[in-house]
Amino acid sequence: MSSSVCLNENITLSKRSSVVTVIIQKIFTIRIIAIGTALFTAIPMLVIAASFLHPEPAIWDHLMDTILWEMVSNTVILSTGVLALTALTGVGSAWLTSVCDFPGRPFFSWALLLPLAIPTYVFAFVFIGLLDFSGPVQTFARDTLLLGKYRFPEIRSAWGIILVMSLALYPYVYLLARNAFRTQGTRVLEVASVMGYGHKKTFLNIALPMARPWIVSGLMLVLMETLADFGAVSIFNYDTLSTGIYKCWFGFFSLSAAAQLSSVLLIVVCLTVFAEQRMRARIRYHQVGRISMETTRIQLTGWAKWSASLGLGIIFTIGFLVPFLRLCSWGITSLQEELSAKYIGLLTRSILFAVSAAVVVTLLGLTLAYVNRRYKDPLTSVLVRLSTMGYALPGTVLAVGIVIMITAADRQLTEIINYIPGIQLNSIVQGTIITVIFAYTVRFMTLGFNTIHSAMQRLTSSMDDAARIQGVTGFRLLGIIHMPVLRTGLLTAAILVFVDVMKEMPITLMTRPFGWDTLAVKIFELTSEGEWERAALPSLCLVIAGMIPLKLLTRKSD
Amino acid sequence: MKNILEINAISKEYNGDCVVSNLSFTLEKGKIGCLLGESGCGKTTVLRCIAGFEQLQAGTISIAGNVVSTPRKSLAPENRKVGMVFQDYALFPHLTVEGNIAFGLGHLYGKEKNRRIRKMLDLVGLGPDSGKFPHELSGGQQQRVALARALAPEPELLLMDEPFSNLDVMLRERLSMEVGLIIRELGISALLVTHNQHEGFAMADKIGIMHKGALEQWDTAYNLYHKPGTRYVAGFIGEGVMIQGLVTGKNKVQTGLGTLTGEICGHWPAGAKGHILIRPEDIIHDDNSPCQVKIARKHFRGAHILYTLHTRDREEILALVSSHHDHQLGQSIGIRPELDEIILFN
Repeated sequence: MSSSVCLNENITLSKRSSVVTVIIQKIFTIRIIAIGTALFTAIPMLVIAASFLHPEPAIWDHLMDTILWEMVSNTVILSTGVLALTALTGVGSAWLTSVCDFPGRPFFSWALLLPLAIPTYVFAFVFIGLLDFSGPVQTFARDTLLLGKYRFPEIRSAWGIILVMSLALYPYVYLLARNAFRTQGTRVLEVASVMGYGHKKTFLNIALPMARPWIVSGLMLVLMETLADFGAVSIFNYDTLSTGIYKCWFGFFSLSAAAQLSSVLLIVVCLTVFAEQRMRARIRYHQVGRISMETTRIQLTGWAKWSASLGLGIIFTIGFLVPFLRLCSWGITSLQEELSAKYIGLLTRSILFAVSAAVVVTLLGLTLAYVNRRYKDPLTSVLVRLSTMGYALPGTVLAVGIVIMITAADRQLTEIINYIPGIQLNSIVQGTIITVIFAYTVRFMTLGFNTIHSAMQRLTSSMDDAARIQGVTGFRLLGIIHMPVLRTGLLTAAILVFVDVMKEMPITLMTRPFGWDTLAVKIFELTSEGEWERAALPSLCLVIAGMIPLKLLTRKSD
Repeated sequence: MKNILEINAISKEYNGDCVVSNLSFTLEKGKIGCLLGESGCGKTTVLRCIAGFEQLQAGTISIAGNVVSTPRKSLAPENRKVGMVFQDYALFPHLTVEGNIAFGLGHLYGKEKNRRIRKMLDLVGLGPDSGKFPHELSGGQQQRVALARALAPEPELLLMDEPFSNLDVMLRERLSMEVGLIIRELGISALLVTHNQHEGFAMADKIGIMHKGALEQWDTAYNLYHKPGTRYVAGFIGEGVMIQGLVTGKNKVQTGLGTLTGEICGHWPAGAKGHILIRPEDIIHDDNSPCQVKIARKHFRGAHILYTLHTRDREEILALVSSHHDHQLGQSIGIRPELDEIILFN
């Protein structure tokens, strides 16, 4: 690694060394790790894409006769509904907290992010538990208010899942829109008021169009999460493409049907990512100011003031307070019977998976960040982009791609090894912990890399020069300058990956070694049997773990 | 050893683009030199070659009599006994002021190390702030820490890359004076790279004007101003205009302002035509002069007013006149050119 650190050690290639030597030296640097990471991220996607290019008519006929159209229309309805609702709540609450002033604004500013700590599937079963026929809300309406003659709307329906997913996902839009309004909102407001615009006109004609790249970018993240969601939709028995992939594999035992379905989802996701990337580019172009200080806020008065507080209060209450308290009360009642040695095992395995993935992602992310810092050529930027594509892949798609890839590799490997007399193997990698860690690494590399990469911006190249001129190079430079400066970034990356792996459901479900249940898997099993109360305790663990990255996030933005 | 730094015909190119070409100069021990030029002229590359961060394609560099860079071999930066102050200061964000200064003192221990750190803190006036981290300091203070860190290992040569460019104008002038004094107090040599001529004038004994990778002139500030060697230098340093002239005899040149008399620099036979550099202070305001010119623009500068004047031949000249002579635009005034030395260019 020292060769990457000291910018000048490699430059002393004399002109006489042959072209071949130069090429070999160029490849056999730490870049080889980047090449490996990029390949291992790209292959699962290529496997899925390839299955789209080689459609199997028999499978498609069967899918079309049975569940395909329902899955596609459900996915479209769900995505449209969630996008509309998150846009409305996210943008509205962002405008209120970043530009206006009203009672409780500082509290709501961070409290509205709290739903991010709750996985969508936890939201899903909490709300089903609350609003189901036998749940406390309907029971209260029937028995106490004597409203038994009216039909309560069915919670396990399109509107129910849309509502639940929107509550879980609106913070993405809120976060980005808030960032947009904070960087340009107040200045724009001043300009608009000088030109005689009212607040409403300012918002609709100026602030909203200006914030569009941020808002669309947030909505694309919401769309990615919606398409990728597995847990919440399966709890609602609402079949989308994502659950369809799982059912094809584990219901019909057809991995190739799962791959065919995955390719459809992959195309939709690619389009989403493309849109998101374009918006990111425009954000860079639009970013004009820094976060402005608390100067001119619109002072809401009278009914507007209180309705702002009330509206955000309702979002906060049903988006965080109610589910959190419900989990706590369920958790307390089930504590006695549930807290057994079995849970220690679940927790240990969750932590084992999460720690291994965090370590692997952090180390690879660090290497990748160094490669990115050291080499400025087009090949490197392609490698880095390839390596960090996994975040957009729905867990179900990724799992299918990886299992197909590993099965194929395994077959080759075992054939070779079985030539050795006395050895008879069926598989080497497949069904081991390596598969699941590999899948996590592909999925969460973006998170790790981006965090470390932004921490590395603090290490300027002149800092290396300053150390070098005073005789500190190589591993000493790493030890006394680089690592201390990067330490917080590395730790943050590891924590973020750790928490995301803890919450991860479909990849774990589809690639884990036999019998290796984690907290998330347990929640899936309990909720598919309708055991909401017993699922509360593991969920509470995940929610509390999920608060850690939020803490890091708010600290960074303040 | 008389010269601390000898740059001999060095060249450097990146991907076929010549950044530095055939550049030579020497710096005497104990003096401060300065490379001055527009951004992109290659001055920072020269500094990085001297520090040992870049390899040469041609020429040699010697520091204190030892050849440190040739195209074939290059002494590692840490073995050149040079210190460097970077444009962005490159302070280590996780170390305190004291930690940053102590960074290059790894070979010292205990009392000697502490004494050296103390000395540096006193020198740059940051004693009370020794425990602070870089982000807690102002820009000027960070700059001083960067200087102290570079000076602590007692280098023979200090290199400074645009050291004041991140500071505001007032602080820049004051700090460049201060830094010049500190370097002279320690009796070391220094080479400064900047695009701001005021910084060069405030600190340096010798200044080199760089243009497109080449050194136009390596000289004292006085000579650069009064005896510029090339038209580029004449235009880059100070203000002034070029007017056409015809050499009519020894130390006589015929121009639109009349016949100028003064020592002609260089060999210019009678009958030769050229352009003469006229500085604003070469033009004396004299109402009795037969040479009448029209005021086109004026720029109030406190003690003086800089007038832009048009001659009858539509030539433009500048004149620096005491601000008590406050004339109106369009008015005609009398002027008299008074030059000791006549600088002629083709």
